[in-house]
Amino acid sequence: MTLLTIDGLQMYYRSEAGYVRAADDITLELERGQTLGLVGESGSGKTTIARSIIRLLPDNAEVVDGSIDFDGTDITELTDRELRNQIRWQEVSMIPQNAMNGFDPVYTVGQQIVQVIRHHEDGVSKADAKDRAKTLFDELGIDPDRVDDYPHQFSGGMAQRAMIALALCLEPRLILADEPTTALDVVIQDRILDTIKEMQAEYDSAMILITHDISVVSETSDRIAVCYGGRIVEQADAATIIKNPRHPYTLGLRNAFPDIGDSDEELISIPGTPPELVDPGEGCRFAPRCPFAEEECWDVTPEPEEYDDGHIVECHRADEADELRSLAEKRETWMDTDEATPTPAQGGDD
Amino acid sequence: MPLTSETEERSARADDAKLRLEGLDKHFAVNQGILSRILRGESSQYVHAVDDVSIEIAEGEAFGLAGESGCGKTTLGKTAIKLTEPTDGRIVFDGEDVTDLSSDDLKAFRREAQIIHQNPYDSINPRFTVYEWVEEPLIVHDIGTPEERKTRVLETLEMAGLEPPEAYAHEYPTELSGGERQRVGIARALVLEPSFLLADEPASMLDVSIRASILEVFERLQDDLGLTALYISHDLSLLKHICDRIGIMYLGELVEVGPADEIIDNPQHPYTQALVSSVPRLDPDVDRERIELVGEVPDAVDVPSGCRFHPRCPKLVPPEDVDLEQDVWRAVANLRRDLLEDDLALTGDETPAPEAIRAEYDVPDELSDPHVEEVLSEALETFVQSDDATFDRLRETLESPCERGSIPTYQATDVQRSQCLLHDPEGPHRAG
Amino acid sequence: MSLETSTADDDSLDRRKLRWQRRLEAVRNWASVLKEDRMGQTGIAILAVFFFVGVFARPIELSVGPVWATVQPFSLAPYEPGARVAGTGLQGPSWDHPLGTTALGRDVLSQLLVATRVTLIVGIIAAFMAVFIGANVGIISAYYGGWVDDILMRITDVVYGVPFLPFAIALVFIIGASLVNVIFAIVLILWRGTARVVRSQVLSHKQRPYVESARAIGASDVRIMYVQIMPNVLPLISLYAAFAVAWAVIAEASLSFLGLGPPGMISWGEMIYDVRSAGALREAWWWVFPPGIAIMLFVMSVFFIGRSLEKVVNPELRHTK
Repeated sequence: MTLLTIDGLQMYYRSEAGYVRAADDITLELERGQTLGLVGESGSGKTTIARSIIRLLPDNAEVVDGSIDFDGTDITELTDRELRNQIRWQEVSMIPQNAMNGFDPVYTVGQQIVQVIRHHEDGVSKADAKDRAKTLFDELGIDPDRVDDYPHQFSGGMAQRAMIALALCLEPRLILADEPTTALDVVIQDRILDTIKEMQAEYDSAMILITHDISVVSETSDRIAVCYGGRIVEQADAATIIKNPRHPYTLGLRNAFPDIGDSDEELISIPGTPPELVDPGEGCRFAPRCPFAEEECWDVTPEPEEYDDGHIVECHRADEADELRSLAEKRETWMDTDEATPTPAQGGDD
Repeated sequence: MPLTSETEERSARADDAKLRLEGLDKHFAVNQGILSRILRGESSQYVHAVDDVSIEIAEGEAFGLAGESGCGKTTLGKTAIKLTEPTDGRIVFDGEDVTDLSSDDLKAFRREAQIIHQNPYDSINPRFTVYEWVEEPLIVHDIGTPEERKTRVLETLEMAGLEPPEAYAHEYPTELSGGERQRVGIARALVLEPSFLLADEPASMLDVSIRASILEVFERLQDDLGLTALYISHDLSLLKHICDRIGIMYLGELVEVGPADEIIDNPQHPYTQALVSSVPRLDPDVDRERIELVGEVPDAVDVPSGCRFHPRCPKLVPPEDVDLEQDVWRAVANLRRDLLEDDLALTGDETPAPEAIRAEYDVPDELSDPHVEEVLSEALETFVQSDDATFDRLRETLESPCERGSIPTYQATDVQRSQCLLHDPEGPHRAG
Repeated sequence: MSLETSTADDDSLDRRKLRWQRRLEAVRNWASVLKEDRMGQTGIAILAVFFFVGVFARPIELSVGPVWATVQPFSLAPYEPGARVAGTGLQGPSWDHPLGTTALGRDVLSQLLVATRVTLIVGIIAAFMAVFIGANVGIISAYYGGWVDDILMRITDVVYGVPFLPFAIALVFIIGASLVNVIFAIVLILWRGTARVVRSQVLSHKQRPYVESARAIGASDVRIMYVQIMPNVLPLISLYAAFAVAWAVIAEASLSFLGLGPPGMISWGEMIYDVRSAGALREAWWWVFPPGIAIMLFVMSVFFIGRSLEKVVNPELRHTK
């Protein structure tokens, strides 16, 4: 059953230079209990997409077009107040990258969880709410007595667990995890991801996992959406994205990513820098860095096309994927593009 | 048997070692300042950032140092190129002892060994242009005329992949992207034509597609200039791709060292095994076997005795006369440790029954080894009365060899060395 | 290699041009802040008037050995400030003497204009010396840390405990009142604030990787302190210099008011001292108010400029956009 449907969402930021098209024509579907991995580099729009679901965005953000349907309610139509009282945290909660910033340093972690529970659920006593917090801590592998500790008394991994407790205390139906383990070491990352998966299964919550690490989404997600330049350029079930990608950017990302299981693969970078999102114009946004770009790619924005079952690609040459895939494995392929070397005029990458 | 032939082997290979660290220690005082120590009467405690580490890096080799944050890998790297002074031990560079250098010799050494920093945003002085920043090392070492310096700076910028260099020369760092700044950092390190490069997480703050291009620069430089490099990173997959050998650090100690592929594909030390097992795999068909570790990395001020990994090690060696399944033994050891430290992790407030404590620690109600059962149950019974004799017995009879003394480094395979009793060819109970 | 043809002259010319461009940019940055800042504009206008007066109040003569030269021949002051121009002594404002005369029959306006020069000299020299010492103490203390920091900061603490006026009175009493000694007394106290603030800034800069990078290339401590860190702290130092000027002027006025000012030189504080010692504080408002208002205007203008400098140093204070 579908829980979340994002249809043609255009979430732009107003700036002096014009609209920054941070999320453009985003179309996504998420089933109950499913995990979707949003992969992309900084500035690709992955965080904007996720945050627009609970409207945790800067003041200059604006929904220009499209809808976000969460279980029958169009979220873009709700007032801020309605969103805060009905959706945010209760139905959709968030695990941020840096847990320390997610907590208020002057209250104990327990007080903050109790506060959230009592704010959203009527008639829960303080003691009951605290007991729930303790049970959650226990399930997450933290000593329940630590609910009385302040955030700064936790180590990075523990704080991240406590943040998960805060995100799960209302048993939300959708969890947004924004790079939840990027700041952590692998051993702890592995444990946290494991815990998130377990809790997600227990509460039958859906999850959107935002990360730049393809191997993390490969292991944790049912479906993967690859973001580039504010658009979702390719989405499919996890195995298809990893084994049979069709978009050249996905191919390039795969080449650039070192995999511990692969012995003698060569790392190949994608030349150039990510596109400017202010008035990007027509044409495929990856064209300037794409070794396979043709004239059409520069002039016409590719429409999403569906291959197989739910494998949606925005690329004019997606039909030739088999051929491109073998070409993409060669280093020479990625060396001859027009803008092989970045110049300062193109500006920053973030 | 510890390697007694180690010293002979060293001197035999001394000629092709570019950098040799011998028993390097680096401790930081927790509370600095003489006055505050006198006024507050605090005794000095030390952070054991690096403890007794010996490494040899050959000419032209790419050596990787890995470990979790706080394991001392960055401190070791910076001590190796004398950015911090070692507390003890010797640093031999190009066959010469550089541990104590006069300021002139140190300056000469700086031309040979250079560093590339992790954070491309903070590591360039915001008041310098790209050109000034890359030229500065030449000015400091008084190399060339302004004209010659200009040629060299532009060439180096080009070598670092900033093309055309003239377009970048007069930019300020704030005007550049992360990848470009990292290249500026590389150019500054290379302009002195060093023979050794320390790269401290050189790509961790960059996006994936750009990260690969920076690593390409490193690989090309090593090939073209014959540089020796020490890469520090928490990212094992990355080190596997760019390094010849890898050393794994845990809590200030070097626990395993060996060829990159072997360390990843065939790890010997229990910690390396756990570390490697927790890296996610890209291939969805691979179902990796995860090794769970107990607890978190302990404080580097109060380090565990014996093997520093023993409180968390899934392969903790039981005393010779103890006969238990490995996971039961690990559970018993966890319980014993918390009992002795009076730090039981319990859910309720009042003192629970022994059965409840056992359940909490996953220790079976009846242990298969009667002797251990007796000692443990006695300690749990008297736990409330805190009987010293019973606790002493618990301490002594169930002490693992891993907790005692200092653990030597053994040759674990033909190519890997590991600091773990399990690799003692005469068995883990030899020491006594 | 294609650039070998460019000469060294070109190169250094390029670099000089670049450096000037950068300075210009800094000034432009300030100017753009100033454009929307009425207070800063007012401050600069008032200060400009004071400088004009300071330079042109009386002719400036320079003597090198036996040679005398008049560098600046103009005189804004209508009379010699020390000359008795009105026989009757104390007189209210009139056409001849717009600000009246002193008890000894001297022209108040002339005294006021001439006093500006002394005030500016004392204020600026004392402030710059104090900031120079303070900035160096701060940098050295923070950069070296350890016992150097301990000693320098404890000295700073001690200086913080010294009350200015009793100290200055005692000092000037012992070593005698002169322009140099007054400046000396001010500098001895004034450096402490700058030292503290610069130290804390340098401490934060010292931790940044660019400093380690400088050490890694073998740069000397002096180079790291003055070539690497100093330019990053300079905006803050200039802000403190501005405030120090104001403080020094007040300090000089206080000393002079107590009769400890440089003898033979007329400063604003000295003028008020004269009023008091003539017992004319109640009646001769034309004599008291002008130097009082001048001190107030000067200090105010410096603070206004300081505030707008602060906005340049700390862009978060700019609320306009």
